[in-house]
Amino acid sequence: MLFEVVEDRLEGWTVLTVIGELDLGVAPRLRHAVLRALNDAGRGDGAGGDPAPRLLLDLREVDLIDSSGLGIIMGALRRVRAADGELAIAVSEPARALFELTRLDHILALGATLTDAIAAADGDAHG
Amino acid sequence: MSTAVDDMGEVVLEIPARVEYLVLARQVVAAAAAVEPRLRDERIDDLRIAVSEATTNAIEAHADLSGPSTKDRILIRCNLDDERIEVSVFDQAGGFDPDEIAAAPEAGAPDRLERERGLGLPLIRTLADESDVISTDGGTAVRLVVYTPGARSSA
Repeated sequence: MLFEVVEDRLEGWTVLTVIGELDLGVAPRLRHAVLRALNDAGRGDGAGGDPAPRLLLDLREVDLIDSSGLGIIMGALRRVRAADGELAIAVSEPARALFELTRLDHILALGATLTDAIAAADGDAHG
Repeated sequence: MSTAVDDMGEVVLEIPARVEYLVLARQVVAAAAAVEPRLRDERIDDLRIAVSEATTNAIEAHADLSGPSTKDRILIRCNLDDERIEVSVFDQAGGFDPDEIAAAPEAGAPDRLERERGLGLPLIRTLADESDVISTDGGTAVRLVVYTPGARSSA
């Protein structure tokens, strides 16, 4: 089963694109990618030299998220907040339904596109 | 690992208690559920996640025991009839108190972000139409049911 995490940059954000099914078997790989991205951002050689991490998780090509995956996402939110940063998440409809079901949509900045997710995170930060 | 389909429409899957087999567990149950054309894709996705949670719990329970054992096998039984699909996941890793795990903080509560585990059972309860957990000294059985549209209790 294919599972991939690809790191990229977009307008001051570190983008982690995740492809596949996000369960306990692959959760450590995403956790590692998140930690590395936040570490790079904290050193100032990440997102545009900004020490406050801005992390964008692109989950639009994730076919399934279970609670192991939700745990990693919540851990990412906790670490980003601790560093005064921002977390934005681009989701497909099924993934959004899961976030709504678990009521995590109240604390996460979600969008159907990368731009929408960034706008949701910026809206949260300024609102 | 073995799979069997008996005359009564029951699919039985036995897997080692290892994370690499989560995908297989989901695939087998989803394939069994797909036999029922009235089950929408969204409901099959709910079932896949719920099965993933139950199997994850079983794998973690085995991992918490010391050392590998020949008993480190998980049994998944899947029954489909006109009204519903019922999946049971059995482990042999001792038991736990499901009431203790149910007390996860609400979303938005300050300590909610500290919880990176223990979300599985609440999710199973939310996704399945019916679920129960029977824990004994020998192991734990998680049973979950999704109703077919048109059958009783379906949403």
